[in-house]
Amino acid sequence: MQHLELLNKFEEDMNFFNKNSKKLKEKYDEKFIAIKDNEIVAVGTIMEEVIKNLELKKIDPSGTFIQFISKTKIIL
Amino acid sequence: MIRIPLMFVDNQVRVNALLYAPNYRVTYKPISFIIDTGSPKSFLSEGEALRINFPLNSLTISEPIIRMGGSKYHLFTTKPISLLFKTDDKKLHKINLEKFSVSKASKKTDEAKRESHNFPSIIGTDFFIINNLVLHFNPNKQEEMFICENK
Repeated sequence: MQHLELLNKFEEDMNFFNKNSKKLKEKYDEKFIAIKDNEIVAVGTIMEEVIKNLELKKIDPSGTFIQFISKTKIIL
Repeated sequence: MIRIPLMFVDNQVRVNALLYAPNYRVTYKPISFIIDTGSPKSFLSEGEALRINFPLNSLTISEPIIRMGGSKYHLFTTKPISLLFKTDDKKLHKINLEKFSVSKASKKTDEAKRESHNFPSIIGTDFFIINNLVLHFNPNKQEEMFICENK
C-alpha cells in the first residue's frame, strides 16, 4: 500500500472515532478499541488483549487505529 | 510553503504521521500524536510502541523520570528516526530527527502499565524548536489549524 494511502486510511478511522465518540464512550467506557475501515474490529481491557484479538482476525495492529475510550476527560 | 493540517479530535489537537525507524525495523507505521504545547518533550507512548512493535527493550539510554498526568515515566532515547506528515497539498513531508523519545511506565504494576498504554504520543514544544516550525491554532476555523515552517 502506498504510504500516503496508509496515512489516509488511518486518518479515516480516526475520523470515524471522532464522529462517533459519544456513542463509543457509552458502549466501550474504559476499554481499548481498534477501528479499521470504519468498523470496530477488536476490543480489550488492556492493549495486549486488543493486539491479540486483531492478530486472531489476521489484522495487522501496526496499521490499525487503536484508541482508549473513557468517559473521564483526560487532562495532560 | 509547507503546511501540515491539524485535526480536532475529541477536543484534542492531533496530527498523524508515519514513523520510519529502520534501526528498529519499523517502517512507515501510522502514529497519532496529540499536540501539547505544555509538554517540553515529544515522545512515542508505550502503548503506540507496543502497537507498532517498536522494540522498547532494545532502548537502553534512559532520561530522568518525568511526571505526566500524575504518573511517573521513563523516557528512552532512540537512534535517528523520521516522521512523514501529510501536507495540505496531499503530499508527504519528511522530517528527520537525530533522536526521539519513547515513554515507559517507571512502575511495573499492572495498573501503571495500563495507564501508560492509554497515554497518548505527544508532540511537544521541543519538536517545534528543533525543526524551526510554527503552530497555528484556531479551534474555530479548521483552515487555521496547521503546522508550517518558520520563514
